[in-house]
Amino acid sequence: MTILIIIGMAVITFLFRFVPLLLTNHTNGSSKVEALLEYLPIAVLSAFTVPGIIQVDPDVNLVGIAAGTVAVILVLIRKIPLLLVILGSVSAAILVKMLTLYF
Amino acid sequence: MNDQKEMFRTGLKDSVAIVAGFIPACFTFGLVGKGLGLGSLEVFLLSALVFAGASQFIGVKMLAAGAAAPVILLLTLIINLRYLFISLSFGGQLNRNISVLARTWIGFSLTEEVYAVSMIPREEANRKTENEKMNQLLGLPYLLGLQIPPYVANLIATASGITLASYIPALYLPALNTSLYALLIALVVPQLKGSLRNMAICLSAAGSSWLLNPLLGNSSILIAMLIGMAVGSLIKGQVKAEKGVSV
Repeated sequence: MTILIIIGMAVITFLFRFVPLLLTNHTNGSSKVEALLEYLPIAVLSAFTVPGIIQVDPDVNLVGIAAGTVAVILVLIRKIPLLLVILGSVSAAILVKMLTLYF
Repeated sequence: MNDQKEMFRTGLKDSVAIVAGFIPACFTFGLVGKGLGLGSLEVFLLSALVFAGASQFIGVKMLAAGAAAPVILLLTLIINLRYLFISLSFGGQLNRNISVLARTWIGFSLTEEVYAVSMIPREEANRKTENEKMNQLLGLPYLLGLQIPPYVANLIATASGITLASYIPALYLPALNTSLYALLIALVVPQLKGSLRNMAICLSAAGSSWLLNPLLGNSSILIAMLIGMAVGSLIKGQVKAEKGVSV
């Protein structure tokens, strides 16, 4: 039964991701729809990231907040490679976690 | 031919940051799934077949709690509805000649991270033809390079998490999982510089998602996304020019 539910979840998720890839072959979409789709990446990624990172450690919200803040600061300093941003952000998260555990 | 190899390599290179984020996240998933008392096969299949971060975690919790199938499926539907929009927007950037079979794989492995990396232009030292790249549609070799490594990493890391579940102290794992979000921040934030509209979209979407989250749980993402897009369309000014906005 569990396996069947998992397959059901997989099918739903797959259809959402796959079917639009077939449709857009034919769209010449109106400019209004196109403009909205242009806003979509930033809108969906912002909406996804903010509660997500804050709740990343359900016990200590500060872990995610620290990681996010450090990531934003590092990104604003120019020419830092992606991997370094990630590394810095995760280090901040671990540091905060350690501090909350020992103090 | 050489060009295709080159594009595949570019994809591989771009996938490194995603893989770095996936390893701790998928490892944690394996660990948490086992910790909740689900069977190894079930935890692994969730990663291998669903392959969708947040809804996997929710699925594993609900399965472990013995929730009814319709409830779990309905929740999956709501939480993952955002992919419909992501995929619609992504599909417009795909090279027209990519076959349906290839689109099956591309759609299956289309995560937020893949979407962010391939849709958002970046400035990097050795990325020579920024403008050229953005005007081009996404080709199959590049996408194979970009999407295969994260999926393989997902399988291996989940399996490792399941295997090591009884040996690892889970204390620090949440902190490691910030890596996924750090990647997204690193891709989105440069887009906000110098663009009032992008800034407004980001702040309204992030703010409303955060406010609605306690009420709506993970489906707040979808509502907040629509709010962000509506705010974007309200802000007048530079209508087209922003797409390739420089970092």
